Amino acid sequence: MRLFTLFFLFLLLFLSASGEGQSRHTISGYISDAASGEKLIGANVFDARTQQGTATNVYGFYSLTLPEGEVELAVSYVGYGRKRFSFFLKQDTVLNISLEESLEIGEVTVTAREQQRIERSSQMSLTDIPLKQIRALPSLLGETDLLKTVQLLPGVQSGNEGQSGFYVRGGSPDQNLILLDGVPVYNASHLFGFYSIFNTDAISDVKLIKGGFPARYGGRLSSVLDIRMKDGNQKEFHGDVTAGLVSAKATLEGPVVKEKTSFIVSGRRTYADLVARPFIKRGFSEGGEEGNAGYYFYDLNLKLVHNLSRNDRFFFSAYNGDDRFYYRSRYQPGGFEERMSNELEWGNTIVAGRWNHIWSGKLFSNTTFTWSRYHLGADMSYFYRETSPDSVNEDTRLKYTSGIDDLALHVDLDYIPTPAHYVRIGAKGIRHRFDPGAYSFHYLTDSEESFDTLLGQRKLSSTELAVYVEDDWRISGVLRANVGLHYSSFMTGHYQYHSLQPRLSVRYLLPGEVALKASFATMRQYVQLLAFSSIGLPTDLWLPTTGTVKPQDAWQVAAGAAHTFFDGILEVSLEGYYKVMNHVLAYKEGAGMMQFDDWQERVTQGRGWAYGAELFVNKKKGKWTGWLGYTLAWSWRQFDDLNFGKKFHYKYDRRHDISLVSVYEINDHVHLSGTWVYGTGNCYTLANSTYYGFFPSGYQESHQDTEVDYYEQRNNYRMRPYHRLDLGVDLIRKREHFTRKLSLGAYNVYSRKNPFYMNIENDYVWDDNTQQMEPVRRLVQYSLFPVIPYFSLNFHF
Amino acid sequence: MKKIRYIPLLSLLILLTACEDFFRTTVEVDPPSYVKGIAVNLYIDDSDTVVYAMVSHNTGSLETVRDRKSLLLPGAVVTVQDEKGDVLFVMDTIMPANDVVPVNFVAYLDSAFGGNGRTFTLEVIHPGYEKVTATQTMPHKPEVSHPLFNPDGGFDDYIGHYGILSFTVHDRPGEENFYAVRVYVEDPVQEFNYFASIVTDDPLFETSYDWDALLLTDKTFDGEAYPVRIKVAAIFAGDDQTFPPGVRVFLDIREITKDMYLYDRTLEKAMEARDLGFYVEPVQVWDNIDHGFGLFGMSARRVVLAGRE
Repeated sequence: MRLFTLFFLFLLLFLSASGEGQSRHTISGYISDAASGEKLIGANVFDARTQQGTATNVYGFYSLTLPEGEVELAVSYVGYGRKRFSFFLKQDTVLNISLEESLEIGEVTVTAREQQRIERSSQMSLTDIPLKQIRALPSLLGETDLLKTVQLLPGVQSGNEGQSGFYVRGGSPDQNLILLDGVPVYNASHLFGFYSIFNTDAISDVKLIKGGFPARYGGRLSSVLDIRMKDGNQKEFHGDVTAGLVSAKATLEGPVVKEKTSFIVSGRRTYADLVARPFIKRGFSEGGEEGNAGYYFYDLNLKLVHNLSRNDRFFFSAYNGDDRFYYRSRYQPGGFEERMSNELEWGNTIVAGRWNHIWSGKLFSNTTFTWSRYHLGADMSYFYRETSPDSVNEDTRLKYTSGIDDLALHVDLDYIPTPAHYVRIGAKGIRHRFDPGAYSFHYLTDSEESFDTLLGQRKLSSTELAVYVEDDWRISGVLRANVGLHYSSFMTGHYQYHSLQPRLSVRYLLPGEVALKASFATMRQYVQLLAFSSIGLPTDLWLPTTGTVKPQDAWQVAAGAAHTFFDGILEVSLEGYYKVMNHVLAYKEGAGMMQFDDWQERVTQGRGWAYGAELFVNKKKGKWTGWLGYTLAWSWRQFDDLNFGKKFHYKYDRRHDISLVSVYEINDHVHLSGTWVYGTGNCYTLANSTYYGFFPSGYQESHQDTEVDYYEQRNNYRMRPYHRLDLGVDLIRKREHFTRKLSLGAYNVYSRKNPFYMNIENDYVWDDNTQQMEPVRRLVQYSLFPVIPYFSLNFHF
Repeated sequence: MKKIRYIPLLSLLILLTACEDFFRTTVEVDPPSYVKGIAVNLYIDDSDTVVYAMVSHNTGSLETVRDRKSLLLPGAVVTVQDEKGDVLFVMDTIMPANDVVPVNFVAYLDSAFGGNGRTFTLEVIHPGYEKVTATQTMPHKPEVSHPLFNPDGGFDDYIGHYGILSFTVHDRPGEENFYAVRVYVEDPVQEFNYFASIVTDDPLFETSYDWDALLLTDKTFDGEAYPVRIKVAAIFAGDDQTFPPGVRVFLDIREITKDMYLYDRTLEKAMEARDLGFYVEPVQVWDNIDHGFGLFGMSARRVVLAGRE
């Protein structure tokens, strides 16, 4: 902590000194979309005379301090027309700028110096995911899915077939910090992971960071996925209505008070249960019962933005999403009545209030108050009643609940004293409340056996605090660094943990604008997901660090080169990384999903390390856009309690991972898209052979015999490689008041049987030798999806 | 004309639909590879005068074994040697007594095996298989003191009425020691002798694959005297569910080798996991046979009559 304070004081002194004795003034303001008023994240402001520039932050704010005199500002953003401003700078100036979206993306000319190109930034291992491509790519059942697009990036691997969980540089899914408008999302998937919870119609910006983490991020080891929701159109009403094979969604945005207050509201719901309801009811009635059963999920997003004054903006955002299975039946044939009900419900609720304030042209603050909740509830009941006088009644009910609640306050300051420094300072406090699972069992009968009891583990509360300081420092024309410190502490029960995490990213620009980059980051994670598989089961539990379970730590070094070819059209980066993780969590041998003892007794902690290289070739402009990603990777684990202490491959150790993503805009009416992915098969633990043995007991004549499965090592078996081709076409028609988009395509076009899980099955086959049916055992691989066609229809107005 | 362009598409769809395999979502795949080898289980207690072994070969994890006896290797040469390489005994092939435990080798010794503190090597040779070996050092007999039995221990929801056996283990310093504890009861009224069910509240104890035994390691009391209290179930006691007067209770404590301890613990976990069935983390069972499978284990035993508390 002392080191942190010293660093902070040194930085302030240094920054104060750097501005002295010069006549400099600050140009600051917001950059927004001219049509909607939506703030643009990462837009560039560049002064041609001094060759100094900056970019907008996640709230669209920029600040550029220049010497007094003539300035020639160029303001640009990919996909938008550039604007130029020439004036004499003699005092601090507020300049809010609107950019107009360019219809001909390929023709936008932004000079190399102006554009925010990969080689200009000190940040490495970062990918800005273009939303336009996410919306254009073919998808499973026509549901555009942000997380599945993230899986197509190098260094990111999907888990099992169809799942939206992702694995970054050898880490596990719970090591990814998924932020929705700055609020952590604990369960980012619907329907056991087949869909992510994010409605792409309501999102404005997505960034994935895999390494070289800036100091402002903390709390997870492997990645940060920073998702920003749209603010809502400040000028006019617009909407989207989409109907697909499994769900329908609608988005409406517009001004409440023009150019002062805006809103966006968006909702999505699956409707398979509604369509099937008459058939299911008929099925029940044919069996003499009344009842209903089904599954659905929904999500709702709401955001309100209010410009309180020129310097103050207030945001309110909320998300609520749920998955629900239900089964209800009633049977009353005469003489007795029987009722049964089963419900399983899980989901997230997120509420955030945010205040942006511009203290001066150089100082911007963001204060956020958030509440988030992930909950699971299961409710099973059975009721039986006889109508005769000597009736027997029975009422049984079993309820299970688990979840996590977070209450958090963040304060973040952006201080931009000179174009050479961009300083971020902040603090965060989170109050976690964990519910590790509680059962209530209620049994009432006419007899004396009735009981009402509560079982389970007590709720746990903990507090997480963090402070950070970070400077994006342009040391010289060719050397740039992002240097920072992140301090965090975690208090749970009688235990306290502290961690000081240095972060450093350096970029050196070679002649010819080839950037060499290197980074070092240490991370610590205090909350972890206890999950039996990657399927994203609702029974997965988020749990805190305790006295027994230590916080997870990691450090990562990465180095690479980046360059943009053909005047910003083709971006190429090559990175290598080495990551070491300590206290990673795994279930002990023999731990089962249906065990209800203390979770701490069922887990063990060990080491993990991962290394590899990633190639990313991204064509960002033109009629044809897309990327090629290739990852060569190794990922290992070592636990004292597993594999007899020897290291073994991580389940998702994937040697080769290739993704080819392409969108081709033939004209304004027809867009073609395709993705092809290939990945080495996942690891799996399967017995190599079996032998018989016996074990001595007290009675020598009755030694206990046993059949023993022999595993050469953990994760000894490699599943078949995964590959898949998806193709799609968007047919677009523009009408006077709306645009219609019909999306057609197919997932897994050549119907590759990709592994989902393995099972040993017992069967009988006829044996010609013995002339009888003989038992056989087979190893069978199950796939989920053969070729799946899709369509969806979208109206944008 | 417009309709004509859909014909190739429809034909393709019909063709694909006709091809059932195209839409199938299961496929049989090859199991993990394995090397055929000798599996041997041989345990020697220092008090044994008869030693049994089971020598067989492993099978692929998917192979169906209709008759376990078909796996046995009766032609194997099974020897136990001392540190100098001198053969102590060659085991004789026997016909398995039953299908449940097809033990197929035996050695009758002139006297108790003994050998405490000495190292022995098991060697099994069979044509067509790689020779397997394993080495064990016979532990020393465990030192205990003050074994006392109180027949009126109380009542426990799990085991019912129980007595308390208390004693002190004197651990040898500077080495890892592993103990297996059983309790033998001689009931003069029922004229019935048995290994009693035992449990303990002591968290240092672990369960054993041998369900009459409890395991104890000296991780936390190396070289110290460690007091033990064990609940002895009165399950086979008289109708009043208490131990009758005149009952004799023996502490049967063995010091076992580390390999035997690890095999016992992992085997027990593996069997528990098999019982749990649904979504259980796999368990690797410990073995110490070089180039083969199974376990060569040793134990040194001390049986002490407990005094009446």
